[in-house]
Amino acid sequence: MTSLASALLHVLRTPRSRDGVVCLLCVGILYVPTFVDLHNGLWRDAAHSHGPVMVTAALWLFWKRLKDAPLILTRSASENELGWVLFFGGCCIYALGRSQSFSFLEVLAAAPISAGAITLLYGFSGLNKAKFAIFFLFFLLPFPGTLIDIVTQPLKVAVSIAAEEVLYSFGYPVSRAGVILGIGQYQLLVADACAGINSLFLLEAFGLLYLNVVRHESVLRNVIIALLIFPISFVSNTIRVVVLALISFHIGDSAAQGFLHDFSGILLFLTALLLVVAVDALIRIIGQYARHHPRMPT
Amino acid sequence: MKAWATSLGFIFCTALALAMSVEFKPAVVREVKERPNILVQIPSEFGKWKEERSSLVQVPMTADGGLQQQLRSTYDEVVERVYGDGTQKIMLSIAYIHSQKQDDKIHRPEVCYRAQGFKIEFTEPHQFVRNAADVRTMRLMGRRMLATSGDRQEVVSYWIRVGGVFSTNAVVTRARIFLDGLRGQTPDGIVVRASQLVPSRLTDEEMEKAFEVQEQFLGELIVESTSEIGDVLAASSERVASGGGMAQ
Repeated sequence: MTSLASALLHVLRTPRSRDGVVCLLCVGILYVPTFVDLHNGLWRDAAHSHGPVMVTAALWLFWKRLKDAPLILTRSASENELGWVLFFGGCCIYALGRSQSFSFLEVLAAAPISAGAITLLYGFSGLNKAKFAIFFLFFLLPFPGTLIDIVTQPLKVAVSIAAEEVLYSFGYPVSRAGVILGIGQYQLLVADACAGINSLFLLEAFGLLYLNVVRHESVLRNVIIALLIFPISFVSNTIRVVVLALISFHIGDSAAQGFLHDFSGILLFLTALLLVVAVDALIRIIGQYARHHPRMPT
Repeated sequence: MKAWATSLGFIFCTALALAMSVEFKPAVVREVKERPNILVQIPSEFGKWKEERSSLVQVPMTADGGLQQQLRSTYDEVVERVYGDGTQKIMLSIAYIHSQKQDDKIHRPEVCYRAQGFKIEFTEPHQFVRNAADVRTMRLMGRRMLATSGDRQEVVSYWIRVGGVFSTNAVVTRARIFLDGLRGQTPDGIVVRASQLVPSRLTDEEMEKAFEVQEQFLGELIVESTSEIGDVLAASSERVASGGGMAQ
């Protein structure tokens, strides 16, 4: 106990680590209420239910990136200026968002606040290390519903069309009007639970996280996979809708409802993750093949 | 002192952010608790129109297909009725938010219709005329639109009121709520929508006539309702005076 106390005392006596503790406390005071509010509000909504996972992932990323970074004792003038401008500016954006219950701004402010704090504590080299973590905060942003609808609408329509085509080619009695899929006597709405931005976001985020953890050297490969996440999301959503339609048709509506709530999200996620890893492996194999066989034999 | 400068800087910024968050917070106003359900007062009979039990399926007021849960969480009150005058039927949908905040904004009917697989053939601003004062002050601005889905075709007239302002543009509405909020006000918000199923082959003349019937229908609804309801649906002149100017 005494050793813990003395360790704490030591931290508090060392100027920069003391600043770090104060900074953590300050950010906590700002953002714990934000996340509690989101937890009681927006995150209950299916379109934003990925929030808690994203926060955890972001915190883990910050910790992973900064745990070995050295605190800097003296800052250059530019580090000082940029750090304070970012931190102060972020606090102002936070206040605007918090006072107007505009959680988009409130969460957005986390990016300049963390970037500023990191610059002040770790300098530009720390900022450079943490840049992916800061970028990752983007996935935490609660985009307004109308915007989400605009972005996901084409995806929903595309998924509906694809699901209709697949089912039709297997001889099922399907019909489609917009995003409403009819199979036999049942109607499915390809909207809320299916093909939402939550899945797209979650997939994109974890796709990037996967790439970042695996740490590919090749920029090209990273870009290819990041872009492929959109078609992958499309494919896995279509699979999910088709499975849902088949369950409705063969077993019944209540079974489909149960599946929808319990399992279809996991199915979607697993399919997508498998596809990401498979595509990644495929690209790696092709890359190795190209290296070992630089030229086609003539 | 210099050793503490950074810590003090963090503390200062945080304290400032907290102070501003509290200072700019709009008072949660409106008599929400006193008038929990004001829309039930909307008359079921007015002019030649009478509420009908009907099996017409209405396009929901939210983009996710109107699962009741989201409908309830987005709006404080929702009314969906079908009125008829013996020859034709008009669907009336009204959704009311007692105090608008950024996170639960009214959904524009264009978004809801598109979400249901409708194609918006056109949507154009329209000034609804209730009386001469409306013409003079450019009030009661809304939109007329035509939406089709397969062989289902609907003509739709609607307006959105946020506080004292009629909004025909989502960005303007959002900015309005934001500026009002900074001045400590949370306006109420309502979307009033009349829609009608029409045959898929429709001449321009017939369409114009359908829009006019809707306009009369909505006008009568306001005039025949109590002044309290009329104020909620389409804003009294006092509300407009206190609520500020006119959004484009």
